[in-house]
Amino acid sequence: MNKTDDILERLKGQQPMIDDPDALTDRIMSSLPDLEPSQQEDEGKARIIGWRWPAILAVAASVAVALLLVWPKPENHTQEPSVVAQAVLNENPKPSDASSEPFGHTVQKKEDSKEQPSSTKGSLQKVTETHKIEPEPQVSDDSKAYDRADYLPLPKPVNEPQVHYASIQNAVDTIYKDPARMDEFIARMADFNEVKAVPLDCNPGSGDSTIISNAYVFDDTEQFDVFGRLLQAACWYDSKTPGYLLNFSHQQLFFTLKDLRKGQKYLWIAERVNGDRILLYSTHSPIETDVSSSCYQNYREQLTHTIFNSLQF
Amino acid sequence: MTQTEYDIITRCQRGDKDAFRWVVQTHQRMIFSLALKMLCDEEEAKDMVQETFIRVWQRIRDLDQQKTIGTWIYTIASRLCIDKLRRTNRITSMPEDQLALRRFVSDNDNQRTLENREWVSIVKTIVEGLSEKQRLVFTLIQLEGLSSAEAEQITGFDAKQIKSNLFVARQTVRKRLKELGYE
Repeated sequence: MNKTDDILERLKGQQPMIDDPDALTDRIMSSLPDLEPSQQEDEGKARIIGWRWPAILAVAASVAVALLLVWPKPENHTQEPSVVAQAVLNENPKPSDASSEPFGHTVQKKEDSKEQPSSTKGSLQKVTETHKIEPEPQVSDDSKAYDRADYLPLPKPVNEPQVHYASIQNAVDTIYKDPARMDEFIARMADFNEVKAVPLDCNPGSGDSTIISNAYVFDDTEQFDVFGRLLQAACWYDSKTPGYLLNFSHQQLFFTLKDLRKGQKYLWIAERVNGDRILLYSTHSPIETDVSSSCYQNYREQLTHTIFNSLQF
Repeated sequence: MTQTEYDIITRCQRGDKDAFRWVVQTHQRMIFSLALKMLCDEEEAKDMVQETFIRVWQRIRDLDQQKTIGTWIYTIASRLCIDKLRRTNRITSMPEDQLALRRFVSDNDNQRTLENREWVSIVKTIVEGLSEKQRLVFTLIQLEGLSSAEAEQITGFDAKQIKSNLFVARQTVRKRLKELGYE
């Protein structure tokens, strides 16, 4: 190789650094214009119009079917609203077959929740839930947004529905976003990948059992994309969530939240180590408790300087 | 596009700026790298990164979700850089820029990270005399390390155009380095 080629080859492997990437990000974010609401509304209206006619036809068809069904039995007329609602529910096409649906678990859960007593209130609720499938012109909160995303066509199938963060259903309150769901999601990922949680004692000798710390070591594969999934889960939380702090680079993710209802604070650190693993550290404790990170540092040191096979996972 | 990207983009298309922050944080460095090597000015490169992401945000609903977001952002940044280069005077190197190249070549430490001002000087020195298109193709493939196929997607050139622009660019750079005493 001559000197010219050598120069070019040496330059190829390098990339300039941004001196303060966070400042540049903030600068970009603050200069973003709001997307035109009229455009959003127009799109929403267009979608409604697009969906309204098939929905009206489906309702009309189901009413006709219901009338045919109840015609020979006039005594059943009092139950008609419930029958109609059920017919609408049955007629309305499901987004796809539950077994092939990437978010099949989510869909299944929703269907489970529909199995309620068939009171009038229940029937109305069924109709409302059926209409959830239709796109809404405006989305007021993230949970609604993801309800709709569940039904969007996806470019390629995902084979692990259990470990998609959207599969976690908040059964109690759709506005409050429980930080513990992040741990729940991590536990699912770990379970799916057969990764064991390694409990770490971050305050040895203190006897404080309120501090829960765990470490996980995942394979860093493009197929499963642990880092991407964690980011995605973190992005699910509103930035106005108490204690919200999210920092990440290609190498590391740092995420904190506070749960003011339960008086807990949460911290997650994920880091690419040794090029092919992701070390994930998760801890939560009462808000007022001081938590040392030395246990994490020690474990990390152990990982980066030890052959993986010699560690007890 | 990965599932993660798909979900993030879907959120961006609904106007979710928190999701867009992820896009910025993930891709700003590669766009800065391209802009710095194309424009040879750190502040202009940052402005270009900002302008690129504003355009990305404004057109996020037009994104074809079969394409990768990275390629699409690269495409927007490349076009902005070319426009900028056409509006500004041709970049020429100064003697002190050539000194930076000399220091880089004589340094035996292959792992040394170049500072941004060194990048500017070195690129200024070696790409002198290239047209905007040759410069773009050379930067994408030779300096950024992208494949020819990726460069085709980003620039919209066909394979033949990529090949010919890269060939001419390499020949010109070699000639330039030879003039400066590098064999």
